[in-house]
Amino acid sequence: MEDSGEIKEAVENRDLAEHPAVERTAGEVEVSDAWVSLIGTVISRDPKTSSITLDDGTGQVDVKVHTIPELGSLVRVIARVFTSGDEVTLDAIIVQDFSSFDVELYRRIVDLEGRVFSREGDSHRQG
Amino acid sequence: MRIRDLLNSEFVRSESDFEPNYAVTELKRKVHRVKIVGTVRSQPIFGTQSAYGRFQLDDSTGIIWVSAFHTRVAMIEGIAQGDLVQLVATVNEYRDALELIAESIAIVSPNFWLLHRAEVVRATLDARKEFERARSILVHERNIMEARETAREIGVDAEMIESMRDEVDAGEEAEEDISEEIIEVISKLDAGAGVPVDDIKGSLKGSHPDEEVEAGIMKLMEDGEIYEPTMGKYARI
Repeated sequence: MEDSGEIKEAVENRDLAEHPAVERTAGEVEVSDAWVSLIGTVISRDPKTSSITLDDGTGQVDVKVHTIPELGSLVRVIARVFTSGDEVTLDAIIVQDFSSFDVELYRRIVDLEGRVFSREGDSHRQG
Repeated sequence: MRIRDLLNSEFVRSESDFEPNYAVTELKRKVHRVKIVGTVRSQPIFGTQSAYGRFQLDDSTGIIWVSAFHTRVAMIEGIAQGDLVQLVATVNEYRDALELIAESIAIVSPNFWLLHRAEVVRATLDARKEFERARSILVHERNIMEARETAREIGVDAEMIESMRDEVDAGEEAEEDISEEIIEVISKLDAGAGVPVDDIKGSLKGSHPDEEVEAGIMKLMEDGEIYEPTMGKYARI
């Protein structure tokens, strides 16, 4: 189906197919994760290194970004996980504006999902 | 619906051009059309003269290709990587993988995503109840026609009965298998006074748990295939 100009991009995208961005909190990102998504407030930003620090209420995590969001804004990032030994680095390809997001309702729904989809790996928060 | 549930479904291609394709979920629901809220994970790609457009959708439980054709390609032209969208689509299979054919795509706010997740939880609970009711009817009736009729009478989707038939048949086959194995063990070990139940369990330990063996022995007793000459020992009739 792909045209020649788009085949390369399609092939590059193919490796995404088995790796949804699993929901994690700051402290939950694991070396074995391929892609993760996190929701948090930007508590620091460094344009020199193109990185931000997110605080999600459970902890803090550094994320490399291509577009740096405003300090204090609530964002969701979808990031690839790179590891070096036990060190984990997050490289976000997507940063979503979640400024209108109802965090309290989100936590209640995550809790509900945890009870309903209790089989291993069956909730948004896999693993 | 969650993408994970869709990816765990079995795709059924319709035999007639006028019947839509569908997927059968693990809870035996037929799904022709889905609503999913997720993130546009890949930059959309387009065919020559916008004959088609494609992108990958990710809802954190799974990731799936979404395609649109002809006039509907414009919907994909209006989105970009990173957008949170609500998709309404039909199911299809392309190159041995499930994909979705977009009917409607709308960029939504993050709270819409929460609403969708709450709806999925409720729909899953409802589907589980329906599944249990259908299974109970099928096990009780043991006859597809009667089971379908009973399902209709009490408001359970009769098509679920048909989808569940293979599972029940498989269960019956497994039951027959263990019965044959128990009879084989008894025939082999019986020196005339019957075979102790522990010896039967021991012989089948690698392939069947003790509870399953006990249930198999009870069934063979009820069917009149074996008897208990002395307490705890079994012999063929």
